[in-house]
Amino acid sequence: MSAVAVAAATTAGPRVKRGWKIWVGGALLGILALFMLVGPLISGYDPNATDLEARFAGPSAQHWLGTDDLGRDLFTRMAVGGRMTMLIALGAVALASAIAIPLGLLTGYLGGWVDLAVMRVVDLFFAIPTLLVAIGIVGLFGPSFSTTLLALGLAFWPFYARLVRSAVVGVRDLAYTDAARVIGAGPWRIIRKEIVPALLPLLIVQTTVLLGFAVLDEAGLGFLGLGVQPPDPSWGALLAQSRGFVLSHPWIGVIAGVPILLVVLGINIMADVLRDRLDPQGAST
Amino acid sequence: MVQYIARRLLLAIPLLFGLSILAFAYVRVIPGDPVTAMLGVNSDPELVARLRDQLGLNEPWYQQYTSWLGNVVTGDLGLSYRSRMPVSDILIDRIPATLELALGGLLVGLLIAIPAGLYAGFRRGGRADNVITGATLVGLATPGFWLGTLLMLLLALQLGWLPSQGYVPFDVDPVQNLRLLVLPSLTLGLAIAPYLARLTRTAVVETGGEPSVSYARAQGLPEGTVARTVVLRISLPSLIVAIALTVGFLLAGSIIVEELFNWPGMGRLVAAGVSERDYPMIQALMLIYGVIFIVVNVIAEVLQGLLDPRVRLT
Amino acid sequence: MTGQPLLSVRDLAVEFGHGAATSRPVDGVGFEVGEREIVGIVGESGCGKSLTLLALLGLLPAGGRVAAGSITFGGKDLLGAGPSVLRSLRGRQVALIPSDAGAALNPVARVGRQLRLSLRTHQPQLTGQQRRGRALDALRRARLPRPEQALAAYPHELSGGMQQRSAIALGLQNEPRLLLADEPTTALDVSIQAEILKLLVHLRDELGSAIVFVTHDISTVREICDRVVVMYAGQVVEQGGVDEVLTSPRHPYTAALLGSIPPLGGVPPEQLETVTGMPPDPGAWPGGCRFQARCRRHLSLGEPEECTSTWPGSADGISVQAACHFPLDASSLEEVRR
Repeated sequence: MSAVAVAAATTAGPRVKRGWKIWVGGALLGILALFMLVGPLISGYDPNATDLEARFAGPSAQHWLGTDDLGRDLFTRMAVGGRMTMLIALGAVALASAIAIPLGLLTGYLGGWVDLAVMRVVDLFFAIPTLLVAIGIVGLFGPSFSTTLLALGLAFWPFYARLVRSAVVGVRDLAYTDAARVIGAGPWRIIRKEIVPALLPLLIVQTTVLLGFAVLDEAGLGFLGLGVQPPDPSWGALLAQSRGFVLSHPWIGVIAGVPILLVVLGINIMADVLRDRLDPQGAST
Repeated sequence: MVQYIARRLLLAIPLLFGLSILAFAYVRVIPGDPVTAMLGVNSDPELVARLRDQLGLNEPWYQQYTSWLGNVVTGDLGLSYRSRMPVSDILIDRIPATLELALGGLLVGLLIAIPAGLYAGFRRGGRADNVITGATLVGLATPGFWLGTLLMLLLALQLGWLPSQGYVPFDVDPVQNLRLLVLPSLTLGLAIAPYLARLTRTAVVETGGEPSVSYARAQGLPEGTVARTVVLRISLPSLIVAIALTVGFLLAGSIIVEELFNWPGMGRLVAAGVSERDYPMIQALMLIYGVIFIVVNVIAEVLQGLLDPRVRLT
Repeated sequence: MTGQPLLSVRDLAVEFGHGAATSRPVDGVGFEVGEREIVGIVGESGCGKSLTLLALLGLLPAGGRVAAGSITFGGKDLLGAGPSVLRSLRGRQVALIPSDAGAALNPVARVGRQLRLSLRTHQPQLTGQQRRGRALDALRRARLPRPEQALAAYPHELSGGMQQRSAIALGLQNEPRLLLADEPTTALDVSIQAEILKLLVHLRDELGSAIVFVTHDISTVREICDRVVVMYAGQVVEQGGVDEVLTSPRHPYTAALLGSIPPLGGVPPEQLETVTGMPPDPGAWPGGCRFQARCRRHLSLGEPEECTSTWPGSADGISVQAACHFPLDASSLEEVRR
């Protein structure tokens, strides 16, 4: 290797161990999971039970995070809303993966006109903001829990499909897949036995990253009033609700964003950890 | 170069074409009949039939598409179901406000992100890099509208430095227009800054590994010169293209920020349009947002060609 | 060589990593370069020759450090010098000629601009007019056909040979005392290779610059070098005058490079370009002679124990001509040539 190339190739240097990340990320997600699962049980409130005597109560021993405009307990609503948001996010990511992974594998593996056609459609989806695609789908079916899930899933698949496709193209031509082909393995066998295992780290990392986006976009749709509809809580719905009285009672709007920030931060940190562990090539960027 | 620009423009045409098909198809896949959607379920069957005919819904879809496309190209985007006004008239009033906000947000975002990303990239692994990368991580997790709410509560309500929301056209009162622009564009800028900073840092880090950079050092050029004339200069063209791809985030963010600050741009039509099933409006908004994205990206690619002579050959 | 050498490297060691993960890709290298001398450094890729060059420039990649040794240039200690001293030497007194100029030149700046930038850095007293003249002159000296056109060209618009000449122009325009040529001909066609080699010799004669010429191809050494340093596994295994080393190599590795001894694996001499087998890993150098595992002479002598127990070279890498317990002489060379 030449001097210039030696200098260039080794600039990456040794990676600093970042053990704290897994603890911070794990702690964030663990605490929030506990909050969502156990919170409503220990608070002892029904998330939709109104109490007009206690409207807009501040944090107190009775209502740890206060109450909303109908006197509903915010702690409980945020915990239950978190369940709703996470279900939507997980469902949306599952849907996007179910479309994108097979499509990406197929187009990347086959190439040719199938690849060309699908990727032009993907390009098209890139031109419209994801949120607008999701909003458009909500427009078709009306806002609800399941529409939100569907809308986010359908809005996310193009990004994911393109990523999977280019990763497959990278792996496809590697020596070992060629070897498998020479041995006489059929395409499905090669995809299953050679390509998917090589792609698994990327898939795990990207699914995690997407989960963070799904939580944020659920909240975005909710904020616009196009997500989960009242009286059911979700983090997005709580934010939408808080807008009505953000000037007179700002507390609700302030507190409602905190769990979103923490969960997405936790997810992103875990995605980083996974990337460091599983996909060291992608880790530097 | 002319040839390069022409090719970029030509490549945008299929994309625009696809966009128009998507927008057209969108109204076709609405469950139920668009006329029923317009007139309500219990309307006079004769009226429904007449309207169907009037709207050309009895023609085959490709004829409907071509006549619709012809209308779109001449600026006729149909009538809003909600207000019965031409969609194009409604939009034309709203586009300047959205563009103003988007530009303001982009400016704020770039002013924060580019220096931060460059600094982190050049001092990779250092303390500043860790701080900036950490801030990016938190920024990426922060919902934009929540951040906007906090800014509004702090800067407008607590400190009283700025008006909390509203809009005055620039030609009516430029000073008030700009004062009102600060909070929304700050929110939008802070929302996109983490993405931009990450892109910038990555670009710098990747270019830093190029042979040209070590060769420039071997020539004894000072670090500042290496950073400016080599690292930055090499990464800039592709960085511009990468930033243009985030315009989708910017536009999505503007929809929410407009809603939050009562900023009368196109974004406010989105939620209203969807709630009221104003399909021509949604269709037109898809088209316009898509066209903005495509135009911005074509411009970015042309800039890339101007800045990187190698790109022009491909 | 008479008097003080221009460049003197002693016992140079470069390390990467820490603790158990430490590797030493350069481990005890020493050589000298006199004024106006062309010294070849030969070895396989990974033998540490390129890292040695980078260490001379003070440009080791991140994570790399000089762990031992000394580098003296023109009477100055380079290892103790601060970054600003090194920077003022680089490009001014010590210039690098990269192996692949097409990749090394700044792809988004015209050749003329790159030449002028270097002139402005190292000779700030020059006016813009003078810089332009100097740049043009440098391209002429590097024998670029149509130098005016080359000034206005981007690197990718030039052929490989012209890119290499541009990089040579960039190196020579500040009239450095030492040129470090890092495999300057590997990326080029054979016919252009010969021209570039001729150009380098000519520049030495005209400018009086000394040249360190790094290559993996020992035949190019014969054409232009005065002396040769053979490196293997981070160490110098043999050095001396070109005629002496190339006609009667004393180290079996040199002999193998010259194609006179087929190494283990039995490739016939006609096909032999380099030594078969892999050199050892810099993270875990074997004890004793590092070439022993691939050494045909070691085998033919009945695998003597010294080869695996003690290193036959000198610690500073310079005082022994051939680092071998059983150096080849005329008869043993003849014997293995049979």
